[in-house]
Amino acid sequence: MDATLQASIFLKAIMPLMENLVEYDQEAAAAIEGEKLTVQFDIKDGPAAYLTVENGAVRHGIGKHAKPDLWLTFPTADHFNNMIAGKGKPGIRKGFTRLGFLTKKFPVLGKRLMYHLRGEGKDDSSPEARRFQVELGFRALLGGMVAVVSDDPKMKSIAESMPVGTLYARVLPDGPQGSFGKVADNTFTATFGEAVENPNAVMELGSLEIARQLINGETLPVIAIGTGDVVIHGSIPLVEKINVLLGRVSRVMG
Amino acid sequence: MNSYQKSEELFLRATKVIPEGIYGTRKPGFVLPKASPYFAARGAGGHYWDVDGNEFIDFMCGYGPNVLGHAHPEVDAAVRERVSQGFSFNQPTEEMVELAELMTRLVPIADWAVFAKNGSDVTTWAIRVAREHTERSKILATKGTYHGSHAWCAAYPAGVTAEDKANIVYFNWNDLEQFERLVEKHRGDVAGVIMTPYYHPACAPSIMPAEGFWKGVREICDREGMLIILDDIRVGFRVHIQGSYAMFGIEPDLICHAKAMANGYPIAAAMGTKEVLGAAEAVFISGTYFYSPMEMVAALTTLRILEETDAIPEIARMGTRLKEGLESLGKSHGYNVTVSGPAAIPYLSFDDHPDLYHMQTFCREAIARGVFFHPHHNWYICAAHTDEDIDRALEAADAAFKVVREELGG
Ligand SMILES: Cc1ncc(COP(=O)(O)O)c(C=O)c1O
Repeated sequence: MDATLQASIFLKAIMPLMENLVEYDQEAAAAIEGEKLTVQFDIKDGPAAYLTVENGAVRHGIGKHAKPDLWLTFPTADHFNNMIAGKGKPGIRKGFTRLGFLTKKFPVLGKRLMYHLRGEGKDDSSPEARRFQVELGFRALLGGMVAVVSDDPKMKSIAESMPVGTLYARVLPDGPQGSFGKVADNTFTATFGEAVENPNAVMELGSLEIARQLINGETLPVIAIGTGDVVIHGSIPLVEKINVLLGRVSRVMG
Repeated sequence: MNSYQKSEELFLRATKVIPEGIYGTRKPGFVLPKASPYFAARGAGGHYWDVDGNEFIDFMCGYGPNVLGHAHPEVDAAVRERVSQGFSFNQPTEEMVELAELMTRLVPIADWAVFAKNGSDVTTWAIRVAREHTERSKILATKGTYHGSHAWCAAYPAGVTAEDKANIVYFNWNDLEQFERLVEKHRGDVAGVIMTPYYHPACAPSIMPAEGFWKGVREICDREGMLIILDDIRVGFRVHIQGSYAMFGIEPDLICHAKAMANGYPIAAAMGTKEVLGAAEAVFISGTYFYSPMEMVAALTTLRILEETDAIPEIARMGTRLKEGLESLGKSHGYNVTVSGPAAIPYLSFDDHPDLYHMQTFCREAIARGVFFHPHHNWYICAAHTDEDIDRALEAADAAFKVVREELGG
């Protein structure tokens, strides 16, 4: 995979999951206890994102924070990807004294996330774990769309031709919800956790189980649409482009 | 309530052996999943039945090809007769010459015709002819127009390389200034422009050519040595026996026809003027099935009926009744609705609700009442539609508007 796209997926689709992780996973919560800082990840001429840790919670943002405590720079996307793989060190523009967060705490978050996404946690079929996995997967899809539409050269024509508008997606009856949309030319956003008023299109996933199957690639969106397990209303030009992005996200994120 | 149980069972079977179950423009998500059929069974005239036995007045006509109606006795008899003589030979048959003669007579601006199977075959070939004729590479095209499924014009990026599209330059419909700017930017390298006679995107109203637009395009093309390729695949003989150029006052160098020339039998044609004949002779065209007389017989019979009967004016009359009826019903329910495009190819829109929620509910209700209106694509009228069909369609529309108002309000 293209290095920039890989970095973008981590920054925009995986890192946001740390917000949910520390709410659910005790080990992750313990790792950030008492921490208060903002870490900026900044790839030269590439994607950027930050994490703010405070009061036992994590908040994620795309782009640049006004006042990070720890500012990490990477000359290329490869340097960033190597650091994530545990094979390299970032440049530090600001916050040498806070580097302990990156070397000690951040890896715990990464490890616990992988435990739930790919490790044993994935096999936990308790209702709470199932719901948590769907939350992670659902959120990763939303963030993944922002990543591919912004940083995947193959999606350039979709980014350009997608109409401005917002899709509101939710898992029935009371599962995760969120949105993905184009705000203006070259500006895409995803939100998670809240309902959207007057969306241009709505996508409803019939149950947590359907959402799980879609996220795990056990069923395809087009098929779930045909069987009525996923219901879509509203702007089809928007939905058609989003379907392309969803397909692309599943392919690149595996 | 219609049941679509068999459709859904078949769809599930299909998903096990066919990518996406149903692909392309017929995929369930493009119409109304659970509220419209996925599989058809049979048709007669302006009606068809799905695999569950639900009957519909067919306002899609197979996405255009059915111009005389399903199972037309004369067309089908001619085809059966041809089939009984064999239709897959080592050489073309006399019908190929007859069809080219008939079409060049019907379409006076064109001097020759070649035959293929699908619209995409001939749009792709036509742009190659334009490139060969001008010895240039770029083709201008309007943004959002469907010219087929081949890589140069594919609407979706999977499997398409940047190189596939590198020589296609897009401009906005009716924007003559932008067209001229792009011609200047690529001066000397633009082979021509491919356009439909008017703008008929999916999911949005049709837009007629602005006063002077086509004339302006012709002038610029003449000045710059570029060709006009008219993609008449959707419109063509449905609106005029000479094809749409006669109705819109267009002077194309190359014309692509497909739908509405053989009443559903698979055949497409590219036609052109004698000036581009040399290039047409140089650019290779062939296909195992391109020479099949079965479809040529269907085209000969269909075009003859269109020429000799009042089918085309009747299609326009039915379409006008439908358009006027829908616009007036919409108003009576408090909606601004517009039916755009030529009467034969109507596109209904709720002017104040471009997000299509209203349109989807409206079509769901019409389909439930046996009237197949597509929520995201223009519709088609055929010569088999009767006044009674239009009456029934308007009756269903009245009830559908009422439900839209109850469910979605203003
Ligand atoms: C205007 C136009 N051009 C080209 C095509 C492509 O034709 P086909 O689907 O037969 O390849 C279509 C098909 O809908 C069309 O409407």
